[in-house]
Amino acid sequence: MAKTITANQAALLLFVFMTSSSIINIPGPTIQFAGNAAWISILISAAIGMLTVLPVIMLAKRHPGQNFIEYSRNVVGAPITILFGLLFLYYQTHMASAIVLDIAMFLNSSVMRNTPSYWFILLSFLVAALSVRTGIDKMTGLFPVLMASVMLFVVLVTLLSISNYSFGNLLPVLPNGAKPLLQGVYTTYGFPYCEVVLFSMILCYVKAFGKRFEFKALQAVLANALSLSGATVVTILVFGPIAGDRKYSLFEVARTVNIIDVFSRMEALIGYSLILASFMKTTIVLFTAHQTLMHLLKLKQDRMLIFPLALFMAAISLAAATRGETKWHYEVSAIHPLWGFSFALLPLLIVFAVDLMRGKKDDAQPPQAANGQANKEQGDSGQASKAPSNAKQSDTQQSSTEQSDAQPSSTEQSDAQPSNASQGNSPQANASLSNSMQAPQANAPQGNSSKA
Amino acid sequence: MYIVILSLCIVCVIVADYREGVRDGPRPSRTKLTYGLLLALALYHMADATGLIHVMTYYDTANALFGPAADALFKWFKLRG
Repeated sequence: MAKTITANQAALLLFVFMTSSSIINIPGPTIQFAGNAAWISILISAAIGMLTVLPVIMLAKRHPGQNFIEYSRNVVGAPITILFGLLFLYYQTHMASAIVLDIAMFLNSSVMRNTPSYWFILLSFLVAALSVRTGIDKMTGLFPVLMASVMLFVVLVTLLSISNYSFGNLLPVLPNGAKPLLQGVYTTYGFPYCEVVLFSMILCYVKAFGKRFEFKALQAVLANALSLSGATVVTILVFGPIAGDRKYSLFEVARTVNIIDVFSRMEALIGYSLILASFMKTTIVLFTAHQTLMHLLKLKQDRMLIFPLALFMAAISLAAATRGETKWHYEVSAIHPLWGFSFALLPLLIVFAVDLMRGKKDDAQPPQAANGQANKEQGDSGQASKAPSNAKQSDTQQSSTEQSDAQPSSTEQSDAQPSNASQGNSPQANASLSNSMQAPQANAPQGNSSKA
Repeated sequence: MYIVILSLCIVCVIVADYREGVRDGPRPSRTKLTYGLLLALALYHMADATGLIHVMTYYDTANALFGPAADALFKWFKLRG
């Protein structure tokens, strides 16, 4: 049976992905840049993030059962897709390395000072790689439960530290004009809202989106924005002017909790939350990176590249760890947002724009002309990527070549949801085929190619 | 210790994937090439992390690509008025 997830699971996974590590990492740097206006900058970024997630969903709905690499191949052609895919992979590799290095630095600086960071990095990637090998359905089943525990501890620490709140700390909001606010928007948009582009590699697993999936996804972004801005406000309320100096702010807030000498030393809960949150996000990013690499190479579901990819990411983390914490802070706050915008968001927006234009162009063509065009293109094997029907045909040919070449096991064949989709075995693929190939003439060569 | 642990990791990865490869049948050449490339890149970065050699790493390329633009942007953010 093909691995699929439900629309609700996808929305929950989106919340987990955006909130997991950012709720602990974001407040400190944002307050450092935007001061008391940090929570406003998070809300502004979330509004832009809502606009970012919509094209991702629209593209997934327009190309059911296909991920970014697959529909990009149909929309903008193979050479540009390879370029976009490599840029996307470059960004994803950095993301996974950055998340694990963050957790390693946290553990090194706050919890286990004498343990070398390579232990944390290698073990984190080992667990993430093993989780990715289990499949997306297991991840989506487990992560909401883990995320619930993270949110529970965050809310608990927030409530228990009420006695330390000083509401006067919230003012002044913008003493230095709007530029600090803009810097906060720049940082918080890059992490985590720009990163939702990675979901273009995950939404292909959603079996049926339903009518209100956009609304659910926007709810996920809104819930994330409220969580992040809430955590930021709490940090400001507790620490005031020195809040920006606190790197792992919720961890520091938890340290201040002391109620009748019974509820104290709560930072262990936030430490646990940070480790768990980083694990979840690393796993999702490693999964999308593996999917990107696999589809760039036109491989069907093959788990062989997961371990070397994880090892490569671990090596990047190890190399970055030797450059020092200041350099790392610069990478995350200054480089990361620009990186995400240029190498993840921009390619997606280009594909989205071209897809919209092509969609309008196809709609504008009379049906007979469109059929004639499809037949003409089917005769030209070199132009396979131009028409969706031909793309399906070439995918089928590729699939048959792949099966004879790789001889995958029955387990892997059952894992191959996208490949099944391209072969027309899944309902999404059937819907896609019926949409893209309305003429009976266009169906005939498809069947022939399958036999071939 | 660091080098021993890393060597052990690489050996374990190769053994695990070799056994799976034997079970599942041969892979296409591009898979093997990518596998080798990823391991080579991992070794390259691990060698840098040991401190024995100093070479251009992943983040150095990112800094070269995005550093000037990010610096200009941050300079503008810091300007008053």
